[in-house]
Amino acid sequence: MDDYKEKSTNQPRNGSHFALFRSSRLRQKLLIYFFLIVFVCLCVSLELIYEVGGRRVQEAIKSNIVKSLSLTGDASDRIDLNYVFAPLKKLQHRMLFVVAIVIVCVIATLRFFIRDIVQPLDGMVNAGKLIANGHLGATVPVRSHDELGQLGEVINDLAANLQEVLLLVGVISSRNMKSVANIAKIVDDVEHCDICPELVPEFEMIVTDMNELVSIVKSFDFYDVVFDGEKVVDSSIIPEE
Amino acid sequence: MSKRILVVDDSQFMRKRITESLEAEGYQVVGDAKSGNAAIELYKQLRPDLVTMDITMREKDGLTATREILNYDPEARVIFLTILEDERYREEAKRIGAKGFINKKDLKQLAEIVRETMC
Repeated sequence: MDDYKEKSTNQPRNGSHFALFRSSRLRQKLLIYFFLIVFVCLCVSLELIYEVGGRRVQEAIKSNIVKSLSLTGDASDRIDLNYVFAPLKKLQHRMLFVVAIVIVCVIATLRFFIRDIVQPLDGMVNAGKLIANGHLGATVPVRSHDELGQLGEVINDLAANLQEVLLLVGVISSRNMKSVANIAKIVDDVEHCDICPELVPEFEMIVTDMNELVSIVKSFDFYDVVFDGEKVVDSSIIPEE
Repeated sequence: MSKRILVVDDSQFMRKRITESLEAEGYQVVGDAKSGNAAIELYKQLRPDLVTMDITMREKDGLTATREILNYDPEARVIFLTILEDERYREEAKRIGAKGFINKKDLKQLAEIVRETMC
């Protein structure tokens, strides 16, 4: 049963550097979206940065200065381009710095998004699949009180309710089977006490149905307990077969 | 004044059934909890006259929670209501000071045992 709990947990182990890249469809989609955003940001930013420091822009600025000041010949050659374009260089560096910060922020957002939304959803999907397959010991790890946390609690509550109902059905069916067996024994033991023949198939059907219910309940795995066909016992003290 | 009861069970469906069963007998269910930890907190807040306690719960089990409640209030009255049919649990419940032990399939006995415990 611990295996099911383990499977449903689906949280990254401490120190795992690959948590971000573990595949789930939602995670893959998110990675694609975020990489697209980063790619577009990078393309636009690098184009702007390149243009700001590019020869074409510098030539255009120099030409405008020369024209606006009506400089001629030597005077225009004496313009110190490094000095004039120093602010542009600084702007270029600042833009590179801002792009780096934006990329770091996008990656951090992606990481938080995966940790706070994708991983809990993965946990719910895994637990839901296990519960649907009859492993009622599966639990959704609830680490927040937001809507996702509440959804996880609801799934756990559903599993707990289902376990309770199934176990009750199992033990009550088992008790009824014993009652029917007792009736049959009493009828056999007491002289001249024959059961009405029309009732025999009815009793047989009751026993068959009860057996079926017991076998359905036995086919489930429960949280911390085991239904042995008659009673519910702690899973840590399962009698040997 | 009707007696105040705290219902502890990890199954909401079962809490509802127990609550209905107790309210039908005139008891007041002042709160319910789905884990041992929540039960201890609620017991301290509400100080009920009696607690019905499940054993198997997903956070803290009922036996541990009962021990902590009885450490906090040795006069606390706890009745175990469980699906487990193991004599060891019954004995352990008795040993730690529980006032009763009922199997959930015999829920009809609950009101009677609560009545006896309250006397």
